[in-house]
Amino acid sequence: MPISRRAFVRASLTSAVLGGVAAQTTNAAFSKQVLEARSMDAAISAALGGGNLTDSADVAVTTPDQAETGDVVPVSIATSLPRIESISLMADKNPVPMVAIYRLAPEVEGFLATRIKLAESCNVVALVRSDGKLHRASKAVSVVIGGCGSDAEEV
Amino acid sequence: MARSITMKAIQGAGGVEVRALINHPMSIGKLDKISGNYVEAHYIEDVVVSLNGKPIVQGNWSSGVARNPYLSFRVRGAMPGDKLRLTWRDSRGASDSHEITLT
Repeated sequence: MPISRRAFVRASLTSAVLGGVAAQTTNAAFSKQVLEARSMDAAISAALGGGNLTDSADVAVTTPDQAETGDVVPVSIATSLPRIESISLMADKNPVPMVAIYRLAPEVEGFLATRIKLAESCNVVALVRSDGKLHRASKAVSVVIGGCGSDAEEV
Repeated sequence: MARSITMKAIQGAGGVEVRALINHPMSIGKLDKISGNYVEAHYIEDVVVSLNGKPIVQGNWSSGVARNPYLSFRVRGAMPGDKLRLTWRDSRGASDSHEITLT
């Protein structure tokens, strides 16, 4: 069946609009600015918009003191802060310092555990946004063999 | 393809602890040692966990998350019968999703 130009335009507009809505229901990936940020400050402002950053004793970062390899380093973050909006994990010496951001619903407790890569000995930094403020805590990890590039042998 | 996601929820006082494991290479961009060609990074960019259809954890990841990512968190007030779904999407557009029912 031939399709009129008008019908075609209408159909493509509708699918563009619906596509936009569908994209919003999933979660957008990190923007290029975040992934290309090479410094902690640039990554924080690109991903979290900067804001009041304070060191907080209410955020605890737990990692091993020493990691044999930086490929897999277990990290857990626990916080007693109220109304947590997001928890971010960074490694200050990684080529891409921003490792992960988790946005949490109110029913999720202030606890996260995951495993990250560390390029070299560095500080693992957790940023917790609670009540609009950013709370920071960090933990030094000494890495014997870096975790970037070593997956080349795997594939 | 075999399912990439393993997820379990352990009942505790006042909620559940969710533990999820995803099979994924999470590789960084690098030069291939033999051919010398650049191999694009291949990693999960976006992971969402929903409870009964409502997103409760939305994660953005870089390639700094370790291979075969592990994620654990605790949810207050989750009840037996609640449905927990994890969905991921990677930098090549692949995705997977897995749902469990809390017991």
